[in-house]
Amino acid sequence: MIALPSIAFGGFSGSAKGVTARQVGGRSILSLKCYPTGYATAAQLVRRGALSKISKAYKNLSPEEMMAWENLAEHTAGSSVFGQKAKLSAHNLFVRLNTNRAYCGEGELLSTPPASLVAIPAVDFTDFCISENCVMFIGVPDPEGELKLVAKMSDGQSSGVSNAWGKTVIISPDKVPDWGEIDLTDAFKAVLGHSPINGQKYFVELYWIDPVTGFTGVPVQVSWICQDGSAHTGRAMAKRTTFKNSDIVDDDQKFITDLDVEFAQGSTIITGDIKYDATKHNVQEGLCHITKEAYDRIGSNFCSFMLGRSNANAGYMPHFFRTYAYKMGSEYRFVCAKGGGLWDKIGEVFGTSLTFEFVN
Amino acid sequence: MIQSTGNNFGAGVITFKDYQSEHEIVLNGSFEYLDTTDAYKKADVLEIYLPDLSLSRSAISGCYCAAKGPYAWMGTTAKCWIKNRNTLCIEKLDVWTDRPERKIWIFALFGLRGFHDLQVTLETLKTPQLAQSELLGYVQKKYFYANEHFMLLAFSFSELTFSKPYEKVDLITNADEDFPDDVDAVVPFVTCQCDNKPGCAIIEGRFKDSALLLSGVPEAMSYGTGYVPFFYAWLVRDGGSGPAPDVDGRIRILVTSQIQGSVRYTYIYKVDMDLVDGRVILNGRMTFNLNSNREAYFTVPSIPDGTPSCDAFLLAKNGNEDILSFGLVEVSLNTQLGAKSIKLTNVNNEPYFYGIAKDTGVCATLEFE
Repeated sequence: MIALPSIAFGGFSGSAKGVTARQVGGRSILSLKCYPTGYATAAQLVRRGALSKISKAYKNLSPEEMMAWENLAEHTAGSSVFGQKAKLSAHNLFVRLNTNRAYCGEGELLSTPPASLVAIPAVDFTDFCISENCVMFIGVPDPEGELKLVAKMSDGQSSGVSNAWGKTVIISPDKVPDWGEIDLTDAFKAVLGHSPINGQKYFVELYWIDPVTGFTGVPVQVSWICQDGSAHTGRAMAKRTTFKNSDIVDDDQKFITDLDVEFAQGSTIITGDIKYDATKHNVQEGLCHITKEAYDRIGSNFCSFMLGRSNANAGYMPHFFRTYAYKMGSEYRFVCAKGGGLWDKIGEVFGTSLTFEFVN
Repeated sequence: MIQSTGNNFGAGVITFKDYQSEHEIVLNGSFEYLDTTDAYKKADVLEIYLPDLSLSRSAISGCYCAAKGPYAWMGTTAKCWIKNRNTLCIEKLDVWTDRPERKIWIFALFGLRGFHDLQVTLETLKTPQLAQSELLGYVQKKYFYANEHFMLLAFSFSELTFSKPYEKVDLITNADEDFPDDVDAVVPFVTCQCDNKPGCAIIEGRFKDSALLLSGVPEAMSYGTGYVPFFYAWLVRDGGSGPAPDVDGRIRILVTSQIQGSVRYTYIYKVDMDLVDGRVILNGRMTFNLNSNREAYFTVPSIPDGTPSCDAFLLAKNGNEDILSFGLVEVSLNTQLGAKSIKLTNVNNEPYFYGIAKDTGVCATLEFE
């Protein structure tokens, strides 16, 4: 409705253009319509898209359900302002938890509140790096339960800026630690469109979210000037020594469909989880070309031994494989060659081995 | 040895022979269970609960699982991993719904992921000596690696052509100098198809004293083209090849690989000798190459005090796998006037002698010229 003749007079309520007038406790409150500023990441678009729907859904709750939300809201603190905790209304709590769940892809609305408050820990880590080719936190312990990590980052600010937390956007809503590592390099580039720039300051906020209840942990905030070397040791934070799908050259010799190999300490341990489809290959092996950059991570030909099997259609025939990488002319090959078992063209290779000097 | 404290699929107490360190674990063991128990039906992943392991988790490793059929255990490979310090997980691969008796063999190496700044170093593989005959078919692949704690043994046959079912066959007769003789395990050996159920027949063998003795070859096994029977296992060593404890009347002398001066083809890979029974008997295990000189001297790093100079003759076979010939090598230990050396002499007519000796001889007092 349009409020006339002027929303400046008391007793009126309604909206005119971008201004809304309402009566609260006998007082007139004017508020401006809010428009989102800055980047709208995919996660934020989900949240904005879901916000209106979730907000309206509250009205459809049964009285008992509303009462349950009110009971929980009484025990839930909102943002702290000047040291005094604000209280959340039942409606606010309903919207907050359900939009958090929407972040994590939980489509169904939570009509009854979680049975109790859930204590979510703060994100812990041992070191981090923001450099031009690496945005990474390491030493992140696996959380208990199914928590996901939400990462917010600002774009580069002048190194003298001390507070740009308001400019952070969600670059990743659902990370889980991969052997203690949270790698945000690709997420940063995908959302902000470029890599971090040396000398600029970045603001990062990390917190856990429970996709089931929608509760979040206390955010951990760090700001750091982009530079080579990690924050704590100053050493370049090298990536783990791996062969991944992104290392496979996309050519007509690509018979490995999923490559996940990593090297680790020990007597140089190699672990692998590999799938192959050699339907168009006339040799009893899964084969692909890898990039020179990938080969150079090891720097020489090597071999190892793992178990494997054909897929269900071929009757789960057991195999053992010689998995190896070698340089041939200007090509670099990664191969899972059948060592034993009844060969089938589609299957998987998995296991842990030591890494050996290459043998034929 | 470690024993399970429980499991979630209704098996009894499970025992593993283990080697555990900061970065790796090797577990050896097998166990049976029934797929008819409520516990098994409820389990999404099979979990075995263990006393504290040295790793808090591991990457994926591999094991063997099978169901008992009319002729043999029919099985395949399955993923396994350490979930936390007290839980070993095994993929539940339920593809034999009409066969309730199940068995799992774990002869696996477990390791970690997540290391940065890693410098990859490579280990060296060796080649085991496998019996090869019409009875066994032809060896296709064969590898072994051993350190002082555990070993890898992997090999395959192009076809396994046992002439009679249930025949016992000695598969490995290894005389390599470094091939461990301190592994004792009942191990799985993957063979061929039996009854058109998923997987292949898995038979068991006893790996002991550097030899693998197979038994129970299924009567109905198909030997069709394309089946490549194989063995692949990480095996925990008992530690028997380390320095022997002090035993009264026993002297042990170990020499690692040495080349004699600059003579390229005169060397020893390893010498391992015991002098027992009042230093009258000499038991030697050694691999050597005397291709350039009839005599070669090598330094012994450590000789127990009071060890006399002595001399013995040992029988040695030709070190080339495919050549069946043998000869004598004279072993002379010199401790005179503080010397610590060993002399190997080729006492055969042939001038070149690449040999492997595993023999016991009577010691004579070493006479100096």
